[in-house]
Amino acid sequence: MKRIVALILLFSLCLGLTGCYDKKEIDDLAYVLALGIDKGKTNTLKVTLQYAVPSKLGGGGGGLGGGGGGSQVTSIITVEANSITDALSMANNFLSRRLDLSHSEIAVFSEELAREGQIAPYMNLMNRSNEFRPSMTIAVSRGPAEDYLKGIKPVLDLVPSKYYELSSSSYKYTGLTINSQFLDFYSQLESNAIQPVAVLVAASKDKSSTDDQAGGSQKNDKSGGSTKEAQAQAPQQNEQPGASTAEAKGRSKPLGGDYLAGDIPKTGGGASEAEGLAVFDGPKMVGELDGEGAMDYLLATGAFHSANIPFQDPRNKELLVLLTVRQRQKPQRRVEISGGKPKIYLQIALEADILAIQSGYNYETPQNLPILEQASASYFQQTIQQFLSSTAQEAHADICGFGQEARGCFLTWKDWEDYKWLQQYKDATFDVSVSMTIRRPGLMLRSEPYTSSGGESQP
Amino acid sequence: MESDIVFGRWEAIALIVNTICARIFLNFPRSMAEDAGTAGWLETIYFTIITFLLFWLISKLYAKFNRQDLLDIAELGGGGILRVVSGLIILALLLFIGTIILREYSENMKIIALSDSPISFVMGFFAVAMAVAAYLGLEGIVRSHAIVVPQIILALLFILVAAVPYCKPTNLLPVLGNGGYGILGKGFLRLSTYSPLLYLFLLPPFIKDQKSFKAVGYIALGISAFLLLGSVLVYLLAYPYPTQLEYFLPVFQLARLINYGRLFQRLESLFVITFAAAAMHYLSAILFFAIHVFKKTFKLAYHRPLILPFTAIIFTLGLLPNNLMTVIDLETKVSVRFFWGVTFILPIILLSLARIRAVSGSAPRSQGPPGKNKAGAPKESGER
Repeated sequence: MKRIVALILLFSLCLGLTGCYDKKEIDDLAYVLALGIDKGKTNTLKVTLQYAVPSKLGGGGGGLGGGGGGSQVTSIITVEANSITDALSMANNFLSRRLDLSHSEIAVFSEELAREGQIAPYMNLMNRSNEFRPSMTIAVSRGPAEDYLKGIKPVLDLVPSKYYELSSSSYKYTGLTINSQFLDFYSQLESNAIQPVAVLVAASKDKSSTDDQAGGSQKNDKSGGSTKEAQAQAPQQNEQPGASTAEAKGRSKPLGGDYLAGDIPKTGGGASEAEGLAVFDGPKMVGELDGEGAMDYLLATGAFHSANIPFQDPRNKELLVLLTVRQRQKPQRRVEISGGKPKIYLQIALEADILAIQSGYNYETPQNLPILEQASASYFQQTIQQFLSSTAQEAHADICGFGQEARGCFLTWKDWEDYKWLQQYKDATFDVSVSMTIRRPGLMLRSEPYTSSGGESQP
Repeated sequence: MESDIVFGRWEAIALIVNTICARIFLNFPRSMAEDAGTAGWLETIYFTIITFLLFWLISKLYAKFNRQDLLDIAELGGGGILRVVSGLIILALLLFIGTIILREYSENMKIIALSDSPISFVMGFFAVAMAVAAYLGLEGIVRSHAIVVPQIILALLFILVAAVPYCKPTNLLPVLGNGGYGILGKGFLRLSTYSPLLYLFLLPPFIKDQKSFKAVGYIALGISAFLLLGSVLVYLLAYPYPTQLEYFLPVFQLARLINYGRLFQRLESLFVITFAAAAMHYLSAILFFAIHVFKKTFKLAYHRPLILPFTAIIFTLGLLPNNLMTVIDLETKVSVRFFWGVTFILPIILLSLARIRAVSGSAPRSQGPPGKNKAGAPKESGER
């Protein structure tokens, strides 16, 4: 009798294990990879959903060709709705599979929405829902998010999610963009010690890529919206590619970090770009920084990995010295409250390998190496000092989170709240010191001059 | 009162550790942040020290009552009436915990994994497991704990360690968080966190001797304190204040953070298994002890006929609250206010009364060897 009861119990439990209520077959779902959120024309929002087309993924090399790979393995739809979930429901009305957000890699908000401070209402959904990942990238698009997503055409990656994962980690070897994950963005929105930042992205203004993108849009987008319209909507985007921030910095020629997303002078390689960062004061975007600003941000927060950085040769301002720079240790950050005003100390320790010396001057020798170390340290010190001052005096936003250290000056949360750090930050003064140690000269220990019929000359 | 079942120290430790630490998978780390803010970890240390002191006191008082549980001692201290009153108080606590925890675990499971399943369906699974465990008896429950609890601890430690790279020391600043009242005032009421120590006071008939009782208590408290403090510290370090106040499943949120490359992520699936295992064992222990206390309070001979009625009561009561928010509110308010009293003050009163009566000679002192039942009541078996 006992065995019979046990068997009945066992079988009834097995029936439950099939999970009949919650079964979700993978091939019943459409996985959204990217979410674009713009201001709508007929409703509050225009939500763009880029989702994977799994049937195209198994086909081998076909999807890799030209810029078409991305358009084949993913599809894009745009819906006007009053909320993200509403847009999903509406999209599910004409898609055969149920849209699932658990593999979303990026959420892109348009600059227009961000500048009006209208991001916050959608953050609540992303934090509350089980489907959104904390590691999802948050980006702000200069111009419509829809155009940015339509411009994404992975050339090298067949799997679109891999494209997003790899491109979001490019800051680790370029230093020109940042890592802005949803959880960080969300907690910074609520924090009174740090302000949020987001990756700055844009549809490229490269004509060849744009033409390609417009074609792609027409192919994929049934709801309309062209690139020309998109560019007309872009609030602060320059008309031509190649516009840089170099002139404002007193440079005759721009360096790689002197561009904002969308302005990179390029042809080919897809019609979307990422460079720089968007600065927020609470839920409202208050500014944007170029690639160099992103690098300074990474250095000040300790998130810098490595990057090849060019700077002017100390002996010949027309030529460049290129270093592969790494952060030797996490930055030493200290905050003092003096006379009610914050005084911020930042010590950054860098090390580098020589990548190129265009002048051919032998900086590698023990006598000359300190010249290069001092010059590069001075370069970083100045750019970081300027960057921090601009965050305080122009943006009034503590994006580097010095407030987190400042909390140590207070015993209780109430004391800290009463100090109102975010209001005091605009009066902060900065003491930045950078030390640079050059470790290795690459494969060359010294440079010999080039020779020609005219005699010896430096390369 | 001695039992014909005697199990080892590890089995008892595993049982106590799981019943204390099951709250880690619920909202314990968040409630520390709620009380003391960034100083939640200090609050945990504070009430853990008090718990150790109280247990030291109780174990001293217990020294003269070998292999007698709280109900035996109540009878020694105040006769049948005190036994019945104490039994009903403990029973009310167990039924309340059983009801709330069954609903809370089921709701949480529904939120994180079984979103489309009806709540009664999810609760039904736990209820069946509780009933089967109670049918198999205490021996089956503790032996299962002895096997599963180390795995639960390992899984929890794995999640906590894997979340360490996301920790920022500055998240613990300001050091004193919400201040003295948050740490010391509210912290005192958080003694209720260790209220499952009550089960230890029901276990003496099943434990070899007084030395084992003390060892089980101290080791279980030590392991639990380590896990409680570890979970609070990692949560407070990984999630900044005030964002840390928002999540009612902190360890699940920690598991969601873990992301090492493209292949090693989404570890919340590990959490779901661990969570379900901890819940099932915790609920099984609660149901068994509720039935055991009822049986002993009213001197019933068998416990198996009580399994279905008690399961049905807990299941039905569990369905009464309108929503999860009510359940969490009830659990937080009632448990914080009253459970520490039942766990620590009631035993001290009963033990003191029993000692006074023993000294005055009006009650027999029980120091007899295992196997003898001086009260003449049926032996504790936990099987019938």
